[in-house]
Amino acid sequence: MIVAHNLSKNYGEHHALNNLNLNIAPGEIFCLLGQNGAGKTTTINCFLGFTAPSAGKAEINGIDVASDPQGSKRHLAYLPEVVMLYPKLSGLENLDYFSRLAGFRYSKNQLQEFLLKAGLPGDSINRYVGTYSKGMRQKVGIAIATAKQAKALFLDEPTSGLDPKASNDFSILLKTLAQEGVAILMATHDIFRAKDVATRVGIMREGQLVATHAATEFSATELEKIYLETV
Amino acid sequence: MLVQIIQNEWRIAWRERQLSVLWIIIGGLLLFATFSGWQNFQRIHHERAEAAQLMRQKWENQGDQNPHSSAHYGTYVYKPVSILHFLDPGIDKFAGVSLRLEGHVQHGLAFAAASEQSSLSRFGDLHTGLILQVLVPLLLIFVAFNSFQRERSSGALRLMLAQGTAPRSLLWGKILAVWSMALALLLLVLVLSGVLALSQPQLSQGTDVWLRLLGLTTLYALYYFLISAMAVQLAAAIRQPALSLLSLLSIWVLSTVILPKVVAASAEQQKPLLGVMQFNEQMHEEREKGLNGHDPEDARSKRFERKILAKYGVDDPSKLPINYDGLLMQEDEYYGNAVWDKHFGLLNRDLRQQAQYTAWSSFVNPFQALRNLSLSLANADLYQHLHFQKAAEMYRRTLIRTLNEKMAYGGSKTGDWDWTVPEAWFSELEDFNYQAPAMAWSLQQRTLELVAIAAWALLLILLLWMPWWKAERLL
Repeated sequence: MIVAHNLSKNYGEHHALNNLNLNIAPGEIFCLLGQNGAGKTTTINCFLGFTAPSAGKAEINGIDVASDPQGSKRHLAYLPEVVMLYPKLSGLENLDYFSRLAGFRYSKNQLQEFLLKAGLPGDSINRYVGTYSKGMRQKVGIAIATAKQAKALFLDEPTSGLDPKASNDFSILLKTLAQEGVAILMATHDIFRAKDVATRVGIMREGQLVATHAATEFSATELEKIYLETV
Repeated sequence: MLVQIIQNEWRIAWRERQLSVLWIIIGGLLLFATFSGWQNFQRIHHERAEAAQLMRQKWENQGDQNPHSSAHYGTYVYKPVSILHFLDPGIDKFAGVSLRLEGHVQHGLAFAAASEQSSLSRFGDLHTGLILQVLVPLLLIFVAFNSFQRERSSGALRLMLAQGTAPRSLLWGKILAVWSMALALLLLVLVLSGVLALSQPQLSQGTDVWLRLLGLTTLYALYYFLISAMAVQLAAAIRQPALSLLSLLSIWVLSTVILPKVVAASAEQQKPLLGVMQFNEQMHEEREKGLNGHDPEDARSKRFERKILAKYGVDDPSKLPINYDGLLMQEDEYYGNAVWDKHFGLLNRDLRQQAQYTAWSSFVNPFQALRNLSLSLANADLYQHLHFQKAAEMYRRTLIRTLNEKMAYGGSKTGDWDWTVPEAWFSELEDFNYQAPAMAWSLQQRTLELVAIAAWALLLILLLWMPWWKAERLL
């Protein structure tokens, strides 16, 4: 579903991404770990078509992102690190707008259902997003992703700044989506959250994927140790 | 998708109090200016119509009169005010509106017409045209300058692009949203103008007024598209909102205030006009050198006398079967007309060259094109003024020739200055009935500006199709 073939991105002499190979199957959650500048966000940007790879290719559901950026976007959803959305629109209005941009028109009831399923409290659905906590905004983001019925989901540091409860709720949501067959690529610094939700964990360093492990192979503490040794 | 983006931009702008308040203030100002402009137009129209009627009454009630005395008595004609004066009064205030018509002398208002180049007419009274030209673009700048930065910092832009919004669609959506905010203001003016014009059906008869109103609306709509396209593209290209605002405001000041002044001053330097006194002195001097109806000693006068005496086979004007004085005065008129044609021709040429100079600047500054075309479509520009002046002079020539010919061939003899014609005869002479030029004529004078504004629109659309508008550049 999410495939990278020798994917590279150079900025002059700097190799932001170096020969990355990746294959994430439907229902799988792949967590990319790595320090700042390791190439996690560049990887996601290549899949989103936000940056053109210098070599190799990124595919989503068999579609080459570089040659058909709009076509590939039909199959993906994305949750950025900062999900401020439109502060002067309600959660429902934000969801409605972003769904329409993706070509989906839902009734008010359907939109409410998406938001409630994402865990947003019912009494906040019609409040301006500007009054939401980050956790609530993330839930709207997840609702946007689920409403798009995407087969691939990209998450960039989604749990940064979330309190433990919100972070846990978020993990449950991700697992639910994966169970529904969505392939998920999540870039994160949060080793414990990665261990909790991931099917596989990849560790990046200087643009290269230097290690890949099944999340079940280690405990969170062991994973942290491996991570520290690797980076 | 475009409709969704436009709707959303409207919704956000409306919910951001500062923008909605600004929009309402400018909308209110436009309605106020249009309404007060209409009242002003009605007052001026009635004043001029009454004055013209009064002068005609005086002409028709001048009593039994010697035609030459009547020519000296003369009359006044008044430039009819264009109905679209209420939207853009143009140079009317500075060009003068009345012209005294009499024998021997051609009065002119040509110098004042040069004030089209002056800054006085640019920032004069608050009128609808001024708000549409100056304040509405400013509103569009305030709406557009932050349109990308807001979404960049909130992550909404990444989300929009990931949802499948093509970068170019996003640009177009934002441009159309900003543009439609200006169109809504334009619609307010159009509706109010239409209602006001319909309230005076005798003034808004014919298609020309409505075509001009439609032309003005199209012109402003096109200009607002230029502003919207430029502002949104700059906001997309410049990441810092403060820099984006500064750039747009600099362009606004440069195009609206500085460049028109520089170009006007430069045009005056390229083609300096004579002062009123100097111009009149030159005309007077040249006319004195030639025939003078009251100076029988003049060489040309003598030549003309010999020619007439020979034609009739007599040796003295008193023996002519006609009134020689009438012929001599008309001959003087012909010479005076030639002097007028020469001097006013040169002046008009210089004025037109100045106008062409400013017209060329439209390729650098589309505001100049807007301003000139707005004046032209409102029938209130230099060319229309010259058109009126020429029509009035042609009427004067016909009137004075008729009076002189009556003097010459009406039954009086040379030296018979007490001879009169009945009052009724004067009433039969046709009144001045000025027909303002049609829109096609007005636009023909402004071909350069039309090409310039169309070129600007094409350029900005072309920029939108440039391959550099990729997600990478917007983010």
